[in-house]
Amino acid sequence: MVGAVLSTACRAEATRPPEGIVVVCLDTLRADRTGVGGHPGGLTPNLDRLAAEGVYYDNAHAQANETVLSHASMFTGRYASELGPFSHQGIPEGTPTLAGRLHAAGWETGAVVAGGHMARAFGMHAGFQHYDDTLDWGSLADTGPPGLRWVDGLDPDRPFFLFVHGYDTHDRYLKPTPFGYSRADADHPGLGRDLGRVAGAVSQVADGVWVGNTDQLERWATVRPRFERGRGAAELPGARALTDADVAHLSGLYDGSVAWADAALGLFVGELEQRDLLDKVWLVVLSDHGHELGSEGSFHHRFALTDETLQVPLVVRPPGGLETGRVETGLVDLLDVFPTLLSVGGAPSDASVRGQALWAGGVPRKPRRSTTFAEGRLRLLSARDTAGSRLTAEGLSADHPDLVSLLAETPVGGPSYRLTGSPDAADDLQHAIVGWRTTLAEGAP
Amino acid sequence: MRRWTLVVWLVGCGGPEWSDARVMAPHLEALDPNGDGRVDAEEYARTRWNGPPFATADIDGDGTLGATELARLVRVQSAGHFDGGGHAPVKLAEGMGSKRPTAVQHRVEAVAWKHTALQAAGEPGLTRSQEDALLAVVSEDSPALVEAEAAVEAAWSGLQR
Repeated sequence: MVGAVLSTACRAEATRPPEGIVVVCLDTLRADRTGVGGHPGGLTPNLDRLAAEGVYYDNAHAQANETVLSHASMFTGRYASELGPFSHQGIPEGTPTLAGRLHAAGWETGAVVAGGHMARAFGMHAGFQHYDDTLDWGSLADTGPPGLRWVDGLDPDRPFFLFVHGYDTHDRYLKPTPFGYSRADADHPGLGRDLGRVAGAVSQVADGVWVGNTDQLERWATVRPRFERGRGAAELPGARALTDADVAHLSGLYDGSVAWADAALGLFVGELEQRDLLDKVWLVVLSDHGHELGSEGSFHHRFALTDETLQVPLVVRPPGGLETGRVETGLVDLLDVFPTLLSVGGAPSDASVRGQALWAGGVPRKPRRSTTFAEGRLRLLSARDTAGSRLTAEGLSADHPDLVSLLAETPVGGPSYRLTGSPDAADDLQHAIVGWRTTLAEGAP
Repeated sequence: MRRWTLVVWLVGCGGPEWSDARVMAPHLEALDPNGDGRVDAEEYARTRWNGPPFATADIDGDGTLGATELARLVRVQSAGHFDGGGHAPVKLAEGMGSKRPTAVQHRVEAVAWKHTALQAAGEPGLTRSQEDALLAVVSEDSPALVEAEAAVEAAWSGLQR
């Protein structure tokens, strides 16, 4: 009781202007690997603690299945295909961004990212005054400390926005991770062992086989839905099949990387606490997309739009934390992060921002979304409803000039449209996809 | 009075909720199969941790690793733990479409999309040789593209009716 009273007294007022916003992105972290998301393995005790002090969004979805597109969407509050030709990767120069809007509202803005597709070359630095992308495929343990050193040098009277990012759970987790084989059998024989020792090798797994030639694999993945007729990736030259034990082994290595990422997250939060910032900042922890982990035979995230590749953890912890954490089961998008942070930061928004603010006046709001949409560069578009049914159109580029008519005229039921979940949802989801793309084609908010 | 000050500090907001020990303790459990609360040299070796030798990690030299020593490992070892070569470069999502002008790509996609829908409806679409020829199309005036478009268009109109 005494503790509760004192704890209440120590919690910062979430409604007053925050001193900062800190967003941590754990790239390629599946929602179902978190404890708060239902995983029993104790992989994320620190993320779970944060969730217990804030709101955990248990039904949060990315708008794209790869890093560059998902971040471009999150940073701009737009779908990636709205940012120019879909073949363009990243944020075109001059595009308004979250960081830019916060900076215009008087905030200091900085980011330390782990390189790769987060590099400046992809325009991700837009709006950030400080953007450190010098690491190449680094960990949050690498990006967190320099991010906080940047904060240390700021004028304490100005609010700041810090974005830090790590590839700890990306497919480079296999090499193995620094946590080694803590969740996998180090003596597992066969192909799984070999792939687990070469970072990135799992990205060449599709259709249950490993394909050595990435050009072959890309080509196969691109045409797969259209020209199946029994020609799976197993027919590609040099393909080697994975066993169930291989899949389990590689998934175990991924789990080790999740634990590693969580450790890095906890140490980062400890650094915030040491700086007396934990009670003064909005802390958001999220991922940009998930990972297939063997579902449908792949160990990547670009080959499919599914809950495995799109459902992500999302924690919003207000300054000082909540007395009691909440789990919000309503459907939310990563697009919602943009207006949410503008709202908590007191920066103006406008109709061009597509998401919905999840907090207002320091209080969480009930999500009102009924459908979430996503895009994939390998000619994938999908709609998912609140009940978990998903319809994915496979084979059309997002910028195809006849996209809307082709989507609308094609009966659901063939391999062009892929439905998971309730058959009763098919028509509604097709209408939703057509409506979504019509709205985007018209440029409407 | 002093005792109350201590109590306030302990149960209030002054304690290090996110100390290294508290952050790392649950992760230590996974590396500690014998459950004695420490990671010994054998346990460390068993995980084949991609890190420094045990003797280096064991800062206090007591023959085991505790939570704070694990925290230090995470901090000092992280930089470069992904490097060292041996990884395949991450390919950008180009696919076959990147080898074609966009307009050609869109025509190929439309043919392929309709072909798939026709097949699903039990209608004849492209032949396998036409499929293969379509995959190789890179230019707008390709006979294979024109032929494939013609092959699916009539049936597509029928499907719409």
